[in-house]
Amino acid sequence: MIAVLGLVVGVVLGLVLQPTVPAVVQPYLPIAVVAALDAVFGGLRAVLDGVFDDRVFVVSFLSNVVVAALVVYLGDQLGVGAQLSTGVVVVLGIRIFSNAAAIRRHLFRA
Amino acid sequence: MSSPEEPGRDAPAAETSRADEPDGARADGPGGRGAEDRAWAPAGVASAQDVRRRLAAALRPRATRGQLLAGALCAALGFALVVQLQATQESGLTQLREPDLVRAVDDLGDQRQRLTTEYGELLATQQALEAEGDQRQEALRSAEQARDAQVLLAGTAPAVGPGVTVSVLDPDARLTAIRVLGTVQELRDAGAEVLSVGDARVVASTAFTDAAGGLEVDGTPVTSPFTIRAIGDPARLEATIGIPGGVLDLLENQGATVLVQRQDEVRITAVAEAPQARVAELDPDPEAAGDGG
Repeated sequence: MIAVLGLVVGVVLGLVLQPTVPAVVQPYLPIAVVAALDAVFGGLRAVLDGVFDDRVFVVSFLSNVVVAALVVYLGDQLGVGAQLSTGVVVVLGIRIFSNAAAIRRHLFRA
Repeated sequence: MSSPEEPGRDAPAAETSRADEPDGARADGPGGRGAEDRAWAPAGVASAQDVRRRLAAALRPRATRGQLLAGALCAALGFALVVQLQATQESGLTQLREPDLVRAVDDLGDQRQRLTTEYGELLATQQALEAEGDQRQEALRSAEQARDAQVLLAGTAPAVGPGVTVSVLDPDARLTAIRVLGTVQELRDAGAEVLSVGDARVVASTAFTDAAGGLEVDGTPVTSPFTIRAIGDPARLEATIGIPGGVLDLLENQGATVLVQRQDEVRITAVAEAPQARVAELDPDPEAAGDGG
Protein backbone atom coordinates (compact mmCIF):
# COMPACT_ATOMS: atom_id res chain seq x y z
CA MET A 1 0.00 0.00 0.00
CA ILE A 2 2.72 2.39 0.98
CA ALA A 3 4.63 1.33 -2.11
CA VAL A 4 1.68 2.14 -4.38
CA LEU A 5 1.23 5.46 -2.65
CA GLY A 6 4.94 6.16 -3.08
CA LEU A 7 4.74 5.42 -6.78
CA VAL A 8 1.81 7.81 -7.21
CA VAL A 9 3.56 10.50 -5.17
CA GLY A 10 6.72 10.12 -7.28
CA VAL A 11 4.82 10.43 -10.54
CA VAL A 12 2.98 13.51 -9.33
CA LEU A 13 6.20 15.07 -8.08
CA GLY A 14 7.86 14.46 -11.43
CA LEU A 15 4.93 16.01 -13.29
CA VAL A 16 4.78 19.02 -11.00
CA LEU A 17 8.48 19.78 -10.66
CA GLN A 18 9.43 18.98 -14.27
CA PRO A 19 13.16 18.78 -13.50
CA THR A 20 15.76 18.49 -16.23
CA VAL A 21 17.99 15.45 -16.20
CA PRO A 22 21.59 16.35 -15.27
CA ALA A 23 24.04 15.54 -18.02
CA VAL A 24 26.05 13.24 -15.74
CA VAL A 25 23.25 10.77 -15.13
CA GLN A 26 21.65 11.15 -18.55
CA PRO A 27 22.98 7.91 -20.06
CA TYR A 28 22.24 5.86 -16.92
CA LEU A 29 18.78 7.03 -15.96
CA PRO A 30 16.87 5.01 -18.59
CA ILE A 31 18.71 1.80 -17.70
CA ALA A 32 18.25 2.48 -13.99
CA VAL A 33 14.53 3.00 -14.52
CA VAL A 34 14.23 -0.30 -16.38
CA ALA A 35 16.19 -2.10 -13.66
CA ALA A 36 13.96 -0.59 -10.97
CA LEU A 37 10.90 -1.65 -12.93
CA ASP A 38 12.28 -5.17 -12.97
CA ALA A 39 12.72 -5.07 -9.20
CA VAL A 40 9.16 -3.79 -8.73
CA PHE A 41 7.74 -6.56 -10.90
CA GLY A 42 9.81 -9.10 -8.97
CA GLY A 43 8.48 -7.69 -5.72
CA LEU A 44 4.91 -7.87 -6.97
CA ARG A 45 5.45 -11.48 -7.94
CA ALA A 46 6.90 -12.19 -4.48
CA VAL A 47 3.81 -10.64 -2.88
CA LEU A 48 1.56 -12.97 -4.85
CA ASP A 49 3.82 -15.91 -4.08
CA GLY A 50 3.44 -14.97 -0.46
CA VAL A 51 7.15 -14.59 0.08
CA PHE A 52 7.55 -10.83 -0.04
CA ASP A 53 10.23 -9.44 2.21
CA ASP A 54 10.86 -5.74 2.67
CA ARG A 55 14.57 -6.08 3.19
CA VAL A 56 15.11 -8.25 0.13
CA PHE A 57 13.02 -5.90 -1.98
CA VAL A 58 15.00 -2.83 -0.92
CA VAL A 59 18.33 -4.53 -1.41
CA SER A 60 17.41 -6.02 -4.77
CA PHE A 61 15.96 -2.70 -5.95
CA LEU A 62 19.07 -0.74 -5.06
CA SER A 63 21.52 -3.37 -6.30
CA ASN A 64 19.62 -3.73 -9.57
CA VAL A 65 19.81 -0.01 -10.18
CA VAL A 66 23.45 0.31 -9.19
CA VAL A 67 24.59 -2.74 -11.12
CA ALA A 68 22.72 -1.69 -14.26
CA ALA A 69 24.21 1.81 -14.12
CA LEU A 70 27.66 0.39 -13.44
CA VAL A 71 27.44 -1.98 -16.38
CA VAL A 72 26.45 0.84 -18.68
CA TYR A 73 29.20 3.06 -17.29
CA LEU A 74 31.76 0.30 -17.79
CA GLY A 75 30.47 -0.26 -21.31
CA ASP A 76 30.82 3.44 -22.05
CA GLN A 77 34.40 3.39 -20.79
CA LEU A 78 35.16 0.33 -22.92
CA GLY A 79 33.57 1.85 -25.99
CA VAL A 80 30.75 -0.69 -26.18
CA GLY A 81 28.23 1.36 -24.19
CA ALA A 82 25.48 1.16 -26.80
CA GLN A 83 25.73 -2.61 -27.22
CA LEU A 84 26.07 -3.27 -23.52
CA SER A 85 23.08 -1.13 -22.58
CA THR A 86 21.10 -2.94 -25.26
CA GLY A 87 22.13 -6.22 -23.65
CA VAL A 88 21.15 -5.01 -20.19
CA VAL A 89 17.77 -3.84 -21.45
CA VAL A 90 17.20 -7.18 -23.17
CA VAL A 91 18.02 -9.16 -20.04
CA LEU A 92 15.90 -6.95 -17.83
CA GLY A 93 13.09 -7.10 -20.36
CA ILE A 94 13.15 -10.90 -20.32
CA ARG A 95 13.01 -10.89 -16.53
CA ILE A 96 10.13 -8.41 -16.52
CA PHE A 97 8.24 -10.63 -18.94
CA SER A 98 8.78 -13.78 -16.89
CA ASN A 99 7.78 -12.00 -13.69
CA ALA A 100 4.71 -10.61 -15.43
CA ALA A 101 3.87 -14.14 -16.59
CA ALA A 102 4.08 -15.43 -13.02
CA ILE A 103 1.89 -12.58 -11.77
CA ARG A 104 -0.60 -13.34 -14.53
CA ARG A 105 -0.76 -16.98 -13.52
CA HIS A 106 -1.52 -15.97 -9.98
CA LEU A 107 -4.16 -13.42 -10.84
CA PHE A 108 -5.91 -15.05 -13.77
CA ARG A 109 -5.03 -18.72 -13.29
CA ALA A 110 -3.87 -18.89 -16.85
CA MET B 1 2.30 -16.50 4.44
CA SER B 2 4.44 -19.42 3.30
CA SER B 3 3.44 -21.69 0.49
CA PRO B 4 2.85 -25.41 1.01
CA GLU B 5 6.11 -26.39 -0.66
CA GLU B 6 8.25 -24.04 1.36
CA PRO B 7 8.96 -25.39 4.75
CA GLY B 8 11.75 -23.16 5.97
CA ARG B 9 11.80 -19.57 7.14
CA ASP B 10 14.54 -18.89 4.64
CA ALA B 11 12.23 -19.67 1.79
CA PRO B 12 10.62 -16.21 1.42
CA ALA B 13 13.98 -14.54 1.02
CA ALA B 14 15.07 -17.18 -1.46
CA GLU B 15 11.89 -16.77 -3.44
CA THR B 16 12.18 -13.02 -3.64
CA SER B 17 15.79 -13.10 -4.54
CA ARG B 18 15.09 -15.42 -7.42
CA ALA B 19 12.58 -12.98 -8.73
CA ASP B 20 14.79 -9.98 -8.31
CA GLU B 21 18.39 -10.91 -8.66
CA PRO B 22 19.88 -12.13 -11.88
CA ASP B 23 22.53 -14.29 -10.31
CA GLY B 24 20.10 -15.92 -7.87
CA ALA B 25 22.67 -15.69 -5.13
CA ARG B 26 20.33 -16.84 -2.37
CA ALA B 27 18.33 -19.28 -4.39
CA ASP B 28 20.47 -22.29 -3.47
CA GLY B 29 17.98 -23.41 -0.83
CA PRO B 30 15.32 -25.99 -1.51
CA GLY B 31 12.69 -23.25 -1.79
CA GLY B 32 14.40 -21.68 -4.78
CA ARG B 33 13.96 -24.63 -7.08
CA GLY B 34 10.53 -25.19 -5.72
CA ALA B 35 9.49 -21.67 -6.61
CA GLU B 36 10.79 -22.01 -10.14
CA ASP B 37 8.96 -25.30 -10.63
CA ARG B 38 5.78 -23.91 -9.22
CA ALA B 39 5.89 -20.92 -11.54
CA TRP B 40 5.68 -23.22 -14.52
CA ALA B 41 3.39 -25.91 -13.11
CA PRO B 42 -0.28 -24.94 -12.81
CA ALA B 43 -0.71 -27.59 -10.13
CA GLY B 44 1.56 -25.61 -7.84
CA VAL B 45 -0.22 -22.25 -8.20
CA ALA B 46 -1.65 -20.98 -4.96
CA SER B 47 -5.38 -21.07 -4.57
CA ALA B 48 -7.52 -18.01 -5.28
CA GLN B 49 -8.17 -17.46 -1.59
CA ASP B 50 -4.45 -17.57 -0.93
CA VAL B 51 -3.74 -14.96 -3.57
CA ARG B 52 -6.50 -12.66 -2.36
CA ARG B 53 -5.34 -13.01 1.20
CA ARG B 54 -1.77 -12.18 0.26
CA LEU B 55 -2.83 -9.15 -1.78
CA ALA B 56 -4.97 -7.88 1.06
CA ALA B 57 -2.15 -8.38 3.50
CA ALA B 58 0.24 -6.51 1.25
CA LEU B 59 -2.19 -3.66 0.75
CA ARG B 60 -2.75 -3.23 4.46
CA PRO B 61 -0.58 -0.27 5.42
CA ARG B 62 2.02 -1.14 8.00
CA ALA B 63 4.41 1.62 8.93
CA THR B 64 7.43 -0.57 9.35
CA ARG B 65 10.80 0.73 8.35
CA GLY B 66 11.01 -1.69 5.43
CA GLN B 67 7.63 -0.71 4.08
CA LEU B 68 8.48 2.96 4.30
CA LEU B 69 11.77 2.37 2.54
CA ALA B 70 10.04 0.41 -0.22
CA GLY B 71 7.55 3.23 -0.60
CA ALA B 72 10.36 5.74 -0.87
CA LEU B 73 12.06 3.63 -3.51
CA CYS B 74 8.83 3.35 -5.48
CA ALA B 75 8.44 7.12 -5.26
CA ALA B 76 11.95 7.51 -6.62
CA LEU B 77 11.10 5.10 -9.44
CA GLY B 78 7.95 6.97 -10.39
CA PHE B 79 9.80 10.26 -10.27
CA ALA B 80 12.66 8.99 -12.43
CA LEU B 81 10.24 7.35 -14.85
CA VAL B 82 8.28 10.54 -15.43
CA VAL B 83 11.43 12.66 -15.67
CA GLN B 84 12.96 10.30 -18.20
CA LEU B 85 9.76 10.15 -20.24
CA GLN B 86 9.60 13.92 -20.43
CA ALA B 87 13.30 14.24 -21.26
CA THR B 88 12.90 11.71 -24.07
CA GLN B 89 9.89 13.53 -25.43
CA GLU B 90 11.28 17.02 -25.36
CA SER B 91 14.76 16.50 -26.77
CA GLY B 92 15.72 13.94 -29.36
CA LEU B 93 19.39 14.75 -29.82
CA THR B 94 20.47 15.22 -26.22
CA GLN B 95 19.40 11.64 -25.47
CA LEU B 96 21.63 10.19 -28.19
CA ARG B 97 24.96 8.60 -27.42
CA GLU B 98 28.20 9.75 -28.93
CA PRO B 99 28.37 7.19 -31.79
CA ASP B 100 24.78 7.93 -32.71
CA LEU B 101 25.54 11.64 -32.72
CA VAL B 102 28.58 11.08 -34.90
CA ARG B 103 26.46 9.09 -37.32
CA ALA B 104 23.80 11.76 -37.31
CA VAL B 105 26.41 14.41 -38.06
CA ASP B 106 27.82 12.27 -40.87
CA ASP B 107 24.37 11.79 -42.30
CA LEU B 108 23.72 15.50 -42.15
CA GLY B 109 27.05 16.20 -43.84
CA ASP B 110 26.22 13.79 -46.65
CA GLN B 111 22.80 15.30 -46.99
CA ARG B 112 24.25 18.78 -47.07
CA GLN B 113 26.68 17.78 -49.80
CA ARG B 114 23.90 16.24 -51.85
CA LEU B 115 21.77 19.31 -51.42
CA THR B 116 24.67 21.59 -52.32
CA THR B 117 25.26 19.63 -55.51
CA GLU B 118 21.59 19.77 -56.30
CA TYR B 119 21.56 23.48 -55.60
CA GLY B 120 24.43 23.99 -58.07
CA GLU B 121 22.64 22.01 -60.73
CA LEU B 122 19.45 23.92 -60.22
CA LEU B 123 21.35 27.20 -60.34
CA ALA B 124 22.93 26.20 -63.66
CA THR B 125 19.51 25.23 -64.99
CA GLN B 126 18.11 28.54 -63.87
CA GLN B 127 20.89 30.45 -65.61
CA ALA B 128 20.44 28.42 -68.78
CA LEU B 129 16.72 29.12 -68.74
CA GLU B 130 17.29 32.81 -68.13
CA ALA B 131 19.77 32.96 -71.01
CA GLU B 132 17.27 31.21 -73.20
CA GLY B 133 14.63 33.67 -72.11
CA ASP B 134 16.94 36.56 -73.02
CA GLN B 135 17.56 35.04 -76.43
CA ARG B 136 13.86 34.64 -76.98
CA GLN B 137 13.27 38.23 -75.96
CA GLU B 138 16.04 39.37 -78.29
CA ALA B 139 14.55 37.37 -81.13
CA LEU B 140 11.13 38.79 -80.34
CA ARG B 141 12.50 42.34 -80.36
CA SER B 142 14.25 41.94 -83.67
CA ALA B 143 11.17 40.29 -85.11
CA GLU B 144 9.11 43.23 -83.94
CA GLN B 145 11.57 45.65 -85.50
CA ALA B 146 11.46 43.72 -88.77
CA ARG B 147 7.68 43.75 -88.66
CA ASP B 148 7.59 47.52 -88.06
CA ALA B 149 9.95 48.08 -90.98
CA GLN B 150 7.85 45.86 -93.20
CA VAL B 151 4.63 47.57 -92.15
CA LEU B 152 6.08 51.01 -92.88
CA LEU B 153 7.40 49.81 -96.17
CA ALA B 154 4.12 48.19 -97.18
CA GLY B 155 2.22 51.24 -95.89
CA THR B 156 -0.42 49.17 -94.13
CA ALA B 157 -0.42 51.23 -90.94
CA PRO B 158 -0.49 54.95 -90.07
CA ALA B 159 2.91 56.53 -89.39
CA VAL B 160 4.20 59.56 -87.56
CA GLY B 161 7.52 61.40 -87.43
CA PRO B 162 9.34 64.58 -88.35
CA GLY B 163 9.24 65.63 -92.01
CA VAL B 164 7.81 68.12 -94.45
CA THR B 165 4.46 68.87 -95.98
CA VAL B 166 4.25 70.12 -99.52
CA SER B 167 0.95 71.92 -100.12
CA VAL B 168 0.09 72.14 -103.80
CA LEU B 169 -2.48 74.56 -105.21
CA ASP B 170 -3.31 73.67 -108.79
CA PRO B 171 -6.73 75.15 -109.57
CA ASP B 172 -6.56 74.41 -113.31
CA ALA B 173 -5.42 70.80 -112.79
CA ARG B 174 -2.51 71.28 -115.05
CA LEU B 175 -0.04 69.21 -113.11
CA THR B 176 0.93 66.01 -114.88
CA ALA B 177 1.42 62.71 -113.12
CA ILE B 178 5.05 62.54 -114.17
CA ARG B 179 5.81 65.76 -112.33
CA VAL B 180 4.14 64.58 -109.11
CA LEU B 181 5.89 61.27 -109.45
CA GLY B 182 9.14 63.18 -109.91
CA THR B 183 8.50 65.06 -106.71
CA VAL B 184 7.82 61.82 -104.85
CA GLN B 185 11.02 60.28 -106.25
CA GLU B 186 13.03 63.31 -105.19
CA LEU B 187 11.63 63.11 -101.68
CA ARG B 188 12.45 59.42 -101.56
CA ASP B 189 15.97 60.06 -102.76
CA ALA B 190 16.28 62.64 -99.98
CA GLY B 191 15.50 59.94 -97.44
CA ALA B 192 11.75 60.12 -97.00
CA GLU B 193 10.60 56.96 -95.34
CA VAL B 194 6.85 57.30 -95.53
CA LEU B 195 5.01 59.32 -98.17
CA SER B 196 1.46 60.16 -99.04
CA VAL B 197 -0.09 62.20 -101.81
CA GLY B 198 -3.48 63.58 -100.94
CA ASP B 199 -5.38 60.73 -99.33
CA ALA B 200 -3.24 58.03 -100.95
CA ARG B 201 -0.33 56.33 -99.26
CA VAL B 202 2.63 56.01 -101.56
CA VAL B 203 4.16 52.55 -101.60
CA ALA B 204 6.21 50.55 -104.06
CA SER B 205 3.26 49.68 -106.25
CA THR B 206 1.58 53.07 -106.24
CA ALA B 207 0.62 54.24 -109.72
CA PHE B 208 0.44 57.87 -110.78
CA THR B 209 -1.75 58.34 -113.80
CA ASP B 210 -3.20 61.20 -115.83
CA ALA B 211 -6.96 60.84 -116.11
CA ALA B 212 -9.62 62.98 -117.78
CA GLY B 213 -10.40 64.85 -114.53
CA GLY B 214 -6.76 65.33 -113.67
CA LEU B 215 -4.24 63.45 -111.55
CA GLU B 216 -5.09 59.99 -110.20
CA VAL B 217 -3.06 58.10 -107.63
CA ASP B 218 -3.84 54.38 -107.50
CA GLY B 219 -7.09 55.10 -109.26
CA THR B 220 -8.15 57.76 -106.72
CA PRO B 221 -8.57 61.27 -108.11
CA VAL B 222 -6.36 63.82 -106.40
CA THR B 223 -7.73 67.28 -106.83
CA SER B 224 -6.34 70.66 -105.93
CA PRO B 225 -5.50 71.59 -103.32
CA PHE B 226 -3.63 68.56 -102.06
CA THR B 227 -0.72 67.93 -99.75
CA ILE B 228 2.27 65.72 -100.19
CA ARG B 229 3.42 64.49 -96.79
CA ALA B 230 6.86 63.02 -96.25
CA ILE B 231 8.43 61.64 -93.07
CA GLY B 232 12.19 61.92 -93.03
CA ASP B 233 14.98 64.34 -92.15
CA PRO B 234 13.08 67.67 -92.55
CA ALA B 235 16.12 69.80 -93.39
CA ARG B 236 17.33 67.39 -96.06
CA LEU B 237 13.90 66.95 -97.56
CA GLU B 238 13.31 70.67 -97.75
CA ALA B 239 16.75 71.34 -99.19
CA THR B 240 16.37 68.63 -101.80
CA ILE B 241 13.10 69.78 -103.23
CA GLY B 242 14.05 73.45 -102.90
CA ILE B 243 17.13 73.16 -105.12
CA PRO B 244 16.98 75.83 -107.86
CA GLY B 245 15.79 74.09 -110.99
CA GLY B 246 14.56 71.21 -108.87
CA VAL B 247 11.12 69.70 -108.52
CA LEU B 248 9.71 72.74 -106.86
CA ASP B 249 10.57 74.88 -109.85
CA LEU B 250 9.26 72.23 -112.21
CA LEU B 251 5.92 72.14 -110.38
CA GLU B 252 5.66 75.91 -110.41
CA ASN B 253 6.54 75.93 -114.09
CA GLN B 254 3.33 73.97 -114.67
CA GLY B 255 1.35 76.72 -113.00
CA ALA B 256 0.98 75.27 -109.53
CA THR B 257 1.50 77.13 -106.29
CA VAL B 258 3.61 75.18 -103.87
CA LEU B 259 4.26 75.69 -100.16
CA VAL B 260 6.88 73.61 -98.38
CA GLN B 261 6.73 73.45 -94.61
CA ARG B 262 9.01 71.71 -92.17
CA GLN B 263 7.10 69.83 -89.44
CA ASP B 264 8.27 68.35 -86.19
CA GLU B 265 5.48 65.87 -86.46
CA VAL B 266 3.95 64.71 -89.67
CA ARG B 267 1.03 62.34 -89.31
CA ILE B 268 0.26 60.11 -92.23
CA THR B 269 -3.01 58.35 -91.66
CA ALA B 270 -3.55 57.12 -95.20
CA VAL B 271 -2.83 53.42 -95.57
CA ALA B 272 -2.32 51.18 -98.52
CA GLU B 273 -3.79 47.74 -98.92
CA ALA B 274 -1.40 44.93 -98.15
CA PRO B 275 -0.18 43.48 -101.40
CA GLN B 276 -1.45 39.97 -102.01
CA ALA B 277 0.93 37.73 -103.84
CA ARG B 278 -1.10 35.37 -106.01
CA VAL B 279 1.63 33.54 -107.81
CA ALA B 280 4.86 34.27 -106.04
CA GLU B 281 5.76 32.59 -102.79
CA LEU B 282 8.73 32.64 -100.47
CA ASP B 283 11.58 30.34 -101.40
CA PRO B 284 11.93 28.04 -98.41
CA ASP B 285 15.53 27.20 -99.36
CA PRO B 286 17.18 30.34 -100.79
CA GLU B 287 20.68 28.81 -100.70
CA ALA B 288 19.76 26.16 -103.21
CA ALA B 289 18.40 28.67 -105.68
CA GLY B 290 20.09 28.53 -109.05
CA ASP B 291 19.50 30.72 -112.02
CA GLY B 292 16.46 28.68 -112.92
CA GLY B 293 18.22 28.12 -116.14
